[in-house]
Amino acid sequence: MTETIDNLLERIGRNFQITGQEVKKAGLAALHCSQEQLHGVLIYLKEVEKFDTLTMIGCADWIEDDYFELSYMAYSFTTFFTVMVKIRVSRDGSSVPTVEGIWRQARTFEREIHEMFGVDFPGNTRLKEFFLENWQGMPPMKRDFDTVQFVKDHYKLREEGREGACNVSVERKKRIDAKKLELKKEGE
Amino acid sequence: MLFTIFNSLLAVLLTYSMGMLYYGFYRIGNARIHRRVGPPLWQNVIDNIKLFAKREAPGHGIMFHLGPVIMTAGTITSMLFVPFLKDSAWLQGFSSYGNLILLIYLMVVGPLGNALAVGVSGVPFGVMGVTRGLTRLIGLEVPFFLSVALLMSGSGTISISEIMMAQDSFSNWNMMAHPAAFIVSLFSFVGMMGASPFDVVGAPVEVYSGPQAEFGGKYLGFLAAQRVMFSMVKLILWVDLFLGGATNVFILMAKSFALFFFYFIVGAAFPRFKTEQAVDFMLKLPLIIGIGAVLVRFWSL
Amino acid sequence: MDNLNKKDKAQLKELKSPMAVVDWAVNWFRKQSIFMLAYGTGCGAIEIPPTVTARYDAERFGVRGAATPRQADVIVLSGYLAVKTLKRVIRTYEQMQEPKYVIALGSCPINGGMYWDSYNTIKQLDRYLPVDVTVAGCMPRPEAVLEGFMALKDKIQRGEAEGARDYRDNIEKYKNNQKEIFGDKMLPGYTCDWYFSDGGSF
Repeated sequence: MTETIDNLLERIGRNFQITGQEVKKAGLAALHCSQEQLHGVLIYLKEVEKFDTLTMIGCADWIEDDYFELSYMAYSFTTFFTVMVKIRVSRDGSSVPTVEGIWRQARTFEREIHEMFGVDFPGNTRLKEFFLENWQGMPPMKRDFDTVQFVKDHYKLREEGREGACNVSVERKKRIDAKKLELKKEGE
Repeated sequence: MLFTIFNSLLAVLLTYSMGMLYYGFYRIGNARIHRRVGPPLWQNVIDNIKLFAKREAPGHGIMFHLGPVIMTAGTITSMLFVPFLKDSAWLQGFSSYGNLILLIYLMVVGPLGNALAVGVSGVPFGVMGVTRGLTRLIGLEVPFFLSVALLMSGSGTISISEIMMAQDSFSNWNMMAHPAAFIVSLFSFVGMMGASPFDVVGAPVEVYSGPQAEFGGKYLGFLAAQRVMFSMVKLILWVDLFLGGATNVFILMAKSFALFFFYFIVGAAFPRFKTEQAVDFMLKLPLIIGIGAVLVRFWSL
Repeated sequence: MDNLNKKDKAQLKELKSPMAVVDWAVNWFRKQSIFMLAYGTGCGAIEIPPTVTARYDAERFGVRGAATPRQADVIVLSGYLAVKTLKRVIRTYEQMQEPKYVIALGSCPINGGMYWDSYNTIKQLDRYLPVDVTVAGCMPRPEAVLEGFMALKDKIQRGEAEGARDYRDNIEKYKNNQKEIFGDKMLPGYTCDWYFSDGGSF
């Protein structure tokens, strides 16, 4: 019997409490679970279903519904399936135990998410600053971070030499209109 | 005495201008192989003068200052013990007081002095370059010594002038009389010139020009100048030992350019060896040919 | 040598004193031999390989790559500079030997470019380093990069490419500007102490 992703999802569903699942396309499935179930699902995927590697950990900021959605993408070299395990954590003071013990590369992904979203990963051995040096204040990838205001506060934008600056889209439209008019006249 | 001093200055000038000319050709030739136009022929001279015209140069104490000086002094000293021409009073330097064995020692003085300066500067890439250079030297020296020993026993003398004198006709050139010695020496010649298969020492993308990494401004100017001069010394030495010497400067240029062209072709055609590959290579084919030739030589004695 | 062109000869005729001729000659050698340290900070890094290889061949103008900052004359900053990158760039620049020049490629070093509202890239490079030539564009093509080198050469020949001297004279201003963005994590003192005549550091 050939292995399909539906069979896989069914097996996972038998063992864990899955709150939602969908097959996005051939070989790519997403399933939602609670934060308590996360480690169980990931260990099951790695040890039983032979998902060898963790491709990435994604983080999305759903500011309207007030949660972060963390997606752990596991990939199998035997069946070539990708499974996204999604959990929701609260936007403030959220902490998720690290999965570094399952896949070692997780610590770099978690380090980045910690820096950019401020999610804490207790147990991560390398949770220090990554891209940003000496960053204070709100993590920059949170959606309530006002990047324009930050730039105005911290950097000096060039003022001189921009007196004659025009709005590019307006100017472009003007030029196109002029060209059209010209072509119309030629046509007549 | 005045004549000797004048001769020495003339030798320095001649090697500098010839070397710059050859290396200008080297850069243009490489550019043409890449299908580029390439720099003007005198680009190396311009680079060199610009380096001397820089206002600053970093210093790391007295030993660092001495490094390029020792290197240049070693080059000029070994240059003075190489006779440029045969049957001529010109461009002889002090070659009547020295011999081939002395020269072999002198040729290593400069790089060793520079190694001390690099060690003082504390740049890891420089130290890596020096380590690679000394490792490579193990490979290069053995075939070179074998070929020189063959030559000395074949000619029955250790004087460069007398070895040169003995090659009076084309059939008596040492490259014809002792072909095995010549072939073996060519391997270490390419290596000593730092051509491509053996250019691990200053590999730009690996060790960031190696021993030269910390040298800038006038120090780099000195190193660049001594590099072309040292290359010319080696070319002239090989002309003296194997190509029958030269009776005037034009023949010297023709013969040394032939050797230089060989070096250029090899450098353009082959990719770089790793350090241990270079040593391994030198200790395989060239060593076998060399030892075989030595055995044959002593068998026939 | 095709290098001594008509423009150079006309300039040479106008010089009066012998020292002016010497200065002119030194500047001529400086402009004909430019060792470039290409610092690939942004998307412009990809414009440098075609500039120096067969297609555009910068070597015919005397421009060639340098292996280390000590050997380099000009540092080419290709594109936006993150705060973290700028710190490394400043250290590299301070290691170079005078006279030294800076070429900035693209609109990002001029006014932030398309990253004008980014929280982590600087907006005006010339606040932190003395820039000699900026090549506008997003990104400038290799022709434009070569044109930038030509502009730098003209500047060197006129004796106006003295960014290093400017940096040395206005070191307080530059270091203050740098401190604005680096805050407590300023460059270590030993990298720039020699610029201060009283031996003080930042």
